[in-house]
Order: sequence, then structure tokens, then C-alpha cells
Amino acid sequence: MTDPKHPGDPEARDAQGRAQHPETADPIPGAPPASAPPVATPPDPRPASASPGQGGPEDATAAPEGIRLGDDLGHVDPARTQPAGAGQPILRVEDLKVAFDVMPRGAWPWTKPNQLHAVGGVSFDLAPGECLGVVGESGSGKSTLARAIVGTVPSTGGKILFDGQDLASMSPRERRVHRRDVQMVFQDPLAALNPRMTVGDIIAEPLRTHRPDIGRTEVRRRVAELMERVGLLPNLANRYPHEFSGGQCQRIGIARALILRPKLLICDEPVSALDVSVQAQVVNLLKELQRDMGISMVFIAHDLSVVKHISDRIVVMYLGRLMETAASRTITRSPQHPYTQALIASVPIPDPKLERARERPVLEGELPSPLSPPSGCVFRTRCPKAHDDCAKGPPAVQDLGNGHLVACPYYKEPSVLDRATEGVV
Amino acid sequence: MPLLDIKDLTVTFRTGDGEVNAVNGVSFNIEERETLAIVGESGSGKSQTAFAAMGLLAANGSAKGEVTYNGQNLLGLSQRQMNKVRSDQIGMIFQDPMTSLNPYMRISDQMAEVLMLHKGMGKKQAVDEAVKMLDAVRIPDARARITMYPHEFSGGMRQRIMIAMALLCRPRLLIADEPTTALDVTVQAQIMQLLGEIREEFGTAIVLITHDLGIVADFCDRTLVMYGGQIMETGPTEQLFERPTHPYTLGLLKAVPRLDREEEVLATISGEPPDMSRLPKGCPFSPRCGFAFDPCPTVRPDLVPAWEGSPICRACHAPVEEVQ
Repeated sequence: MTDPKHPGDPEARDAQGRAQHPETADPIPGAPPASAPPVATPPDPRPASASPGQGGPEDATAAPEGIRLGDDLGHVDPARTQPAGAGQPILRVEDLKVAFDVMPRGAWPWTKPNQLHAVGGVSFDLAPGECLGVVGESGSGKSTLARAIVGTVPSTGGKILFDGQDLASMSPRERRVHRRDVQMVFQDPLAALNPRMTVGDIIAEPLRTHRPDIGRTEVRRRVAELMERVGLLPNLANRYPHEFSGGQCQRIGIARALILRPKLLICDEPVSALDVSVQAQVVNLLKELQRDMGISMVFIAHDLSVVKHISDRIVVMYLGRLMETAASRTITRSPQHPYTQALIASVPIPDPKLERARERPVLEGELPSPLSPPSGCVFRTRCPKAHDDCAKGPPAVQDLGNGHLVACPYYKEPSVLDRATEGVV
Repeated sequence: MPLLDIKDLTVTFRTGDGEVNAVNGVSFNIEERETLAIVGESGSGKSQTAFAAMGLLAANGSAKGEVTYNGQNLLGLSQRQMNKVRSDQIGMIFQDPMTSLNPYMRISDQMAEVLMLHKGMGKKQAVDEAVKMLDAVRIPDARARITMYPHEFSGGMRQRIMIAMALLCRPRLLIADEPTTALDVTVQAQIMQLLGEIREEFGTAIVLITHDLGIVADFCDRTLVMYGGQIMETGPTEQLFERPTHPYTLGLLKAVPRLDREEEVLATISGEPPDMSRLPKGCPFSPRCGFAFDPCPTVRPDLVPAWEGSPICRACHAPVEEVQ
């Protein structure tokens, strides 16, 4: 999946096309031509921009022209149209480090602050059209990672390359484009929306900021179209956020993030505040939009079941470090890192027979303080496979092929966690 | 005789929009040493049911019906009598341990207070007892750490302290309201394991209120599914999960993404959670239900056995065979 083999054939994106890949969740890379057009796409975006409009069977009734939101493709600046080139990731994170200064308790103002390494050397690639899941418990640095990619938190080391461009060395102008291309969906849907703005204004705001050239009627039209697309009645545009339920607020947040047709969508725990029945609706919507609009996505959550469902590939983080990364099915079926195994063992499955028969080795202890992380492998204090030399240096990353990386040199050794996936597969 | 018997409990809140029934005629019981799950989404009334039983409703709330514990109707008790029942007879654990513990008091003082008040112990004896209980919930080095303040503990440790505190007077019934919702999965697994051990060791009956169907599957003997302030379905956990007879239970179970399954599209329950001030007269789930027909919005279905002699009770007009 990291190496997309489909040419971005617009035909493959209609309803039948989706039905042809029911299981594999193969993303069709770079589909809407403006965002990283694959080599085969005609350079003129206009004819192709209509193709995603055939979205899916649901759209036919709900929003006949649902996804023709890409009309702004006509007047795109050169930076946006530059082809990403085949196989080039839309996002490359190289040894990213983010540290915060923390004053020790009772310190003098001139005391040197302690460093909290929220993200300590994380690397991964995101292919165009791919959905990458990031799982980890609280304090694993997954939200900081999201903020660094968006650019709201400065990195203290390493590189973030978006479309081949280094985030740190961007000019203000390029940064503006970057902000337009990378959008974010937040965890608490109500808190993320300005209570004093109408929903229509909230959704339109990014468009008004980044595209002042678009007329008012056109803005209104696009907002209505997008509202319909995310499952909101367009005549609700004049209401205020508090009049909506949590699930609807999250739809508003998604619409706001998509109005600029970003190339990359970062979702930070987008469904964890929602009830189960509504969560399923929002997950389905995100997955559908991501595929139909060909957006690349980073989906961050603590719930492995949700992440597995929506992602092509999963990154498992612990205390700011990457533990394991692989295709999502590989992560859930044959996890190799002891932490991933423990995580899977901890996730309860709503099936009494299976659950009671399951062996569930419980991970002892709790997350160490990120202010004084364990030396060497950060997981070693809770790891059943820990050796003496795990404390010496960062664990050597093992490449198991197919993009499956495990940051544990002893992953092959047997342990109680090996049976973690029994019954799950 | 059941340990706790709730009959036709209705909880009403006076709000700016008029009276709202958060719980609407709920009846169930729990036996000695049994573990019962109350499952539902936010606003289903699952927590308010427990709060009403414990006399912990907000000032604008009132409860009608009967809550019988040990032959005593708890709803009629005075504040002073109720204080005796709470913690002495029924312990409670809340969702967020940080807001339930007093941030200004040392753990030792908070815990000793309970024993001094209810058991008439001296301070020293009470602290010794508290240390023993902290050991029982596996707080390492309890003797030294008991003098610390709540903020000095991690979330998982705080929840352990809450559990220890609820158990101090050896209650026969423990009500746990979303005890692991604020915790990470690996810590959740630890806490659930601990609750399981406590159940064995102290013989406590447990009411587990949660929205997480996963922990219910593993932990509870019997499950009660609530929606819109009413019971939709109740029965032995295993049978209920395997063959749900109510459209809501069915929808809920299908909507959860599962680690052991690969679905392309998750099944959803259409629509939004109900507005409690504008519930239909009949079944609260009828506006979202795929099986709804004529009587559903107007006639409230009774909670009756799914079929002759079935341990599963359901409140639904649609025939069982159709739903299953």
C-alpha cells in the first residue's frame, strides 16, 4: 500500500470501483487530480475534477454534485500543481523530535528548564491517498506529532517534508499554502467550534481566509454542498453550534476541514468523544470522504479497534517513540513488538465467549514520566522481554519486510505476550 | 431475596425546558455476589439510575418508585440514614478519580475519615486499616505513599485509591460508574483485573455502569441495556451478546468496530441520540429503529420475557424472530 500500483484512474473511483476493492481498502492514490496528480492524469484539472462527483451510491441522492468542491482547481498557484511524482510520499517525517521546556517545581526564573521530549525521533512516510493510523496511550506523543505536522508546534529536531518541502525552511508564503493543504479535525467537537459563529460561517471561514477571491454566493453554494456531503441539512447553516449534538458538531468540524480541499487531513481523536452508535457514523463518513476525495489522512486515536478499521497502515507509539509500524492487518494479526502485543491483549472484545476464553496477559506498571524517560528502550520498564542491554541505547529497528518495522531486537524471543492475539485473529 | 431491588424508578429533573424524565419506570434487581452491567450511551439514564438509588441526585432532581435494599426503601431515608447506608452498605466508584478525591486532603486523612465516621475507629487504627486496603488494591509502598496528595498519583493509581476507599467498610454492593473510561487501555485492563479479584476476595456484588461493551463481555454475569431512560433488554450476558432480541442491542453490537473482525463499512444506527425532553410516547428508540411499525411511537412496550421461560427480557413490539 505504500507503493501504489494503480494509476489514478478516475473511472476506478465511482461506485463500482469502490465495490471492487471491498476488503483490501486499497486507496486509489492521489485521485483528485489537484492533490498530487499521478502521472497518468491529464494536466488540465477541469475535466477530471468532475469525476469524484460520482462519489458513491449514497451521494447520488444526497448530493448529486456532492464533491465538485474542487472547483477552485482552476486557479491554483504553481506550488499546488507540481506533481508529487510517482511513489513520492506526500508526507515524510524524518527523525522528528519535539521537546517542551518545563520549569522544575520551585525553580528560580533563571534556572535552566527541564526538557520534556514529547516526540523523540519518529520517522514514517505517508503515501498520497493513504490513511495512516497512529495509536498510543495518553502521553505517547501522538497529539504532539499531529501538531508538529500541522505546524502549530515547532519541531526541535528532524524534518517534516510535506510534498517534498521542508516545513522548517518554508517562506511565509509557502507556509500559507501549507496551512491550506493540511487541515485538522479535533477531538472535542463542541470546543473546536466558535460558539458565537453560525455553522455556515464556521465552515466558510477557512475559505474566506485563504480564498478571498471567491464571491459570496459561491462560498454559500460550496458550504451548502459540503454540508450535504457530510450529512447535515444545508438549511441549518444559520444555527449555532450548541444547537447540534456531538456527532453533528463533529460533522461540522469535518466540513470545515474539507472546505479547502486539503491534501492532507489530520484527525486527532475525532471520534473518542462520541457515543458508539454515532462514532460508527462518523468513522464511516471519514473513511468514505477520504477515499472519494483522495485525501491522505493521519488518523490518531487511542482505540486500536477504530484505528484498525479506518487505516491502511498503523504506527504504534509509546512515550514519544515509535514501537512498531506495519499494514493495519499485520499489526492486529501478527504484532511483533511486545508493546503492540500488550495493547492488543488489553483491548476487550464484545463477545463473552471469546473474551472469557482469551488469555489476557496484563501489562504491569504505568507509563513512566516523560520528563525522565527510561534510558535506551523506553518500554523496557514494563517489558516482559527486557534484557540488560535494553537500557544501553535505543533499540535497533528490525525490518521484517513489506514496511513492517519493529523497534525491538528481541521480538523473536517467546514471552507471555505471544498469546495475546489468540482468539483475535 | 435480592440484595437490591429497584421497582418502577423514575427520575425527574426540573429544567428551564420543563420537566425532563431522565429515567422512566425502570425495574431490576441484583442478587448477592452478582455482577450486573448497565450499558447505554450518554443520556440513557444509566448513571442517574445509580445516583437516584444512592440518593445523590442533583438538587433539581427527584426520584419516584422503590429502591429496596435489605428490606429498606432507600428513597424514603433521611440524609443521615442515607449516609449510614452509603459506604457502610453500598460503595461507589466514580468515573473521574481526580474530581472525586479531595485535592486538599492527604489520602491518609480522606481514607481515615471514612473509618472514623462509620466505624468509630481512632485515627491511628483507621490509617492502619487504610494502608491494608491500599495494599489490597496493589498500590506499591502504600505505607509511605498514603500521606501524599491525590495529584501526586497517576490516573490509574487514583482509581485504585477510589476503589480502596469504597471498600473500606466492606460494602456488600459496589456501584462502579464508568470506572475505567478516563484510563488508558493497559491501565483499564489492570483495574478490571483488580475489580475481578476484589469480587472474589470480598464477595461483593457489583453494578458496573459503562458504555464499553467489551469490558461487559468479560466481566458481567447479567447485562441491562438502557436507552432514553428505559430498559430495552436484559438477560445473561452471554446469551444477550450472542443473540440480541432487541433492535437497539443488535445495532449497538454491530456498530462497535472489533479487533477480530474486518468490516469495510461499520453498521450504524441512523439518527442522533434522543432529546430527553421530547421523547416519543411509545418506545424511545422507535425514531431510529429499522423494525419500527405502527404501535411503536405511541405505545410503550412492556419489558417481558422474549419467549416463554426465556431469561432474556425485552421491551419491543417487533417479533423476536424478526429481529434475530
